[in-house]
Amino acid sequence: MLKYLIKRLLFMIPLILGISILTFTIIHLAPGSPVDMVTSMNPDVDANAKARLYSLYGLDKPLYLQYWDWLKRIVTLNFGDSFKDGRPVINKIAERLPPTLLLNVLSLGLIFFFALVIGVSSAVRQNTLYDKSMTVFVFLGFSIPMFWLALLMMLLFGIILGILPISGMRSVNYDMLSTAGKIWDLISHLILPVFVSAFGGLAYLSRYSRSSMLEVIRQDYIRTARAKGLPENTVIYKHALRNVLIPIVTLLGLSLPALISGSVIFETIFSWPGIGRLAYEAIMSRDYPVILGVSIIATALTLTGNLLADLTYAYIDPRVRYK
Amino acid sequence: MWKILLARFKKNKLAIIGAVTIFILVIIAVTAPWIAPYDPATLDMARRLEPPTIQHLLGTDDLGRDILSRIIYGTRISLLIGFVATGIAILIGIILGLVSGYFGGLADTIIMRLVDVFLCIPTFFLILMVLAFLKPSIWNVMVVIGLTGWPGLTRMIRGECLSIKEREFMQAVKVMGLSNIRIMFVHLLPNVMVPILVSATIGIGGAILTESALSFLGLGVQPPTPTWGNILASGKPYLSFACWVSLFPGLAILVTVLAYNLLGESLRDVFDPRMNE
Repeated sequence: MLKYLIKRLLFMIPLILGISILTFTIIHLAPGSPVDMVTSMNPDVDANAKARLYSLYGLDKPLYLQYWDWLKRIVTLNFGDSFKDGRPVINKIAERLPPTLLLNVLSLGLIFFFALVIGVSSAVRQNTLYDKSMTVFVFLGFSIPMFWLALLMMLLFGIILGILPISGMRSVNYDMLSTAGKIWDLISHLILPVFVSAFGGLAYLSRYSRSSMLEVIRQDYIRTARAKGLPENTVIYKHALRNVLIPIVTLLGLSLPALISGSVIFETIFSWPGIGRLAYEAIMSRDYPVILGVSIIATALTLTGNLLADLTYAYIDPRVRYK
Repeated sequence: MWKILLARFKKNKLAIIGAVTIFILVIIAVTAPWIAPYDPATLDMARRLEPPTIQHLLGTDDLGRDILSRIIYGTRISLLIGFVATGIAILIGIILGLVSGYFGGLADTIIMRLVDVFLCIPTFFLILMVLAFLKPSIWNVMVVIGLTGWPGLTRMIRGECLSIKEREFMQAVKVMGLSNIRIMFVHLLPNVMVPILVSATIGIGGAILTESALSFLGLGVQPPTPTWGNILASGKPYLSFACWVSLFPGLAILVTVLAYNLLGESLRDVFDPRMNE
C-alpha cells in the first residue's frame, strides 16, 4: 500500500511540472505586461522607472531563467509576492482555500447523495414517467447557465422573499452573534451557492449511476439473490447498490476540475471569499505570481482528490485491495 | 441498418424534441433579419428598461433596444460559436486520438501525458486566463473554447481505436498494404463516428454555455454584438426591478443547451440500445 502511495505521489510531479510550464508559457507569451498595467495611466513614469520595475519583478530575464527561478522557489512553497498588494501569494491562497473547500466538499456530498438516489430510483423504474422526468430534471441542471440560476435565486430568496443573504460568507454583525447565531449565519450564506453548484453537477453522476445500476441488476448474482426469495429492497439496496457505488467514487474525484471551474463563476457572483474569486481577480489584474500559484494549487487539489478517490476505491472494494 | 436506427430515433420522444428545437433555432438564426421586429442596435433612450408590452414582446434593455430582436440576432452568434468551437475540438481530438490509438508507442505516451495535463487543469480557468491576455473577440472566444475541448475526446477515440485494432478486418487492411493515413481515416474513423457524433452534440451545448459564462464575466464576445451571454450580463445591475433583461436570454441559453444535451443523450440510446430492453 505504501509503495503504491509513493508511486502515485511521484507521478504527480511531472503533471504539476507540465501544468506549470503551460501556465507560465501562456502568461508570458501574452502581449502587454503587468508593468504596463501599473504604469500606463501614469504620465510621470519614464523608461528608466519602467526598467527598474521590470527587474524588480524579474521580468527582464529570459523566459527559461524566469521559470527556473520560480521553480526553485516553489519547492520551498514560496510562490513569491503578489504584484498587486505585495503580500506573499501563499498567505493569500491559504486564507482563501478554506471557504472554497467548505463549499465544494458540501456540494460534492450533496451531489453524491442525490446522484445515487436519483440514479438508482430511476434505474429501478426504467422507462416510467418518473424515470423520464428525472432525466429531464438532471439535464436541466446540466444545461442551465449556472450564473443565471444564481442570479434568479438571489432575486427570489434574497430580494423578493428576503430570507437568505445573497453575498459574502458572513453578515456585517457576525462578530456580535452568539455561537449558534454564527453557525446559522454561515449556513444561511452557504445555502444558495451550495445548491447552485450541486444542481449543476448532478447530471453526470446520476446518469452514470443510473446506467451502471441498469447493468448491475441484469447480472446473475442479482437473479440469484431474487431467486433466493430476498425482498426486493434488500436486493436493490444491499446487493446491487454496493456494486454501483464503486465507480461513482472514482468519478467523484474526476469531477473536481469542473467544480473548481465552477467556483470561479459562482464565487464571483456570490462574492464568496474563495480561490475561484481570487483567480478571477488575479487574472483581471495580471497578477502573475497569484495566477501561477492558484493554478498549481488547483492542480494539486485535483490530483489529491483523484488519489483520495482511488484510495477509497481500494478501501471499499476488497477485490482491488488484495490484488 | 439506417432504417432501424431511424425507426428507433422516431420512437425516442426526447430525441425528437431536441432535434426539432435545434432545427427551429437554425431557422431563426438564418432568417434573423426578416423575423426580428426591430433593428438590434437601434437605441431609444426614451424607452429604457420597459417591461414586456405588445410593441416590445420581451421588453427593452438599459439602452432602449428591443430584447426580442437582440435575442434573435444573438442566436446567430451563439450557434456559430457552438459549431466552430466544437468543430475545432473534434478535429484535434480525431487526429490526436487516431494517431495515439493507431500508432501507439512514443506518440501514444506523449499524447496521453498531454491529455493528463489538460484534464487536471480546471478548463474554465485556462480559457479565462488566455482570453484576459488576448482580446476577447468572437474568433478568439471560439478558438480558445475549441482548443481546450479536445482532451476527453482524444482519450475516448484512442480507447475505441485500441479495441477496433484487435478486430480481423484491421489485419486484412494491413495485409492489403494500405497506407497508414488511409487505414486511419477510411477504415478506423467510420467505426468511431458514433461516439464522436454524441460528444459533438453535447459539446456544442457546452461551448454555448461556456461562451455565455465568459460574456457574463466580461471576457466573452464584446458588446454591441449581441450574444445571449452579454445581453444577460447587461441586465445584472437592473435585476431587482427589470428582471426581464436577464430572464429571457437565460431562458434562450437553457432551451438551446438542453436541446443539444437531450439530442446527444438520445443519440447514445439510439445507437446503443442494449440497456433499453
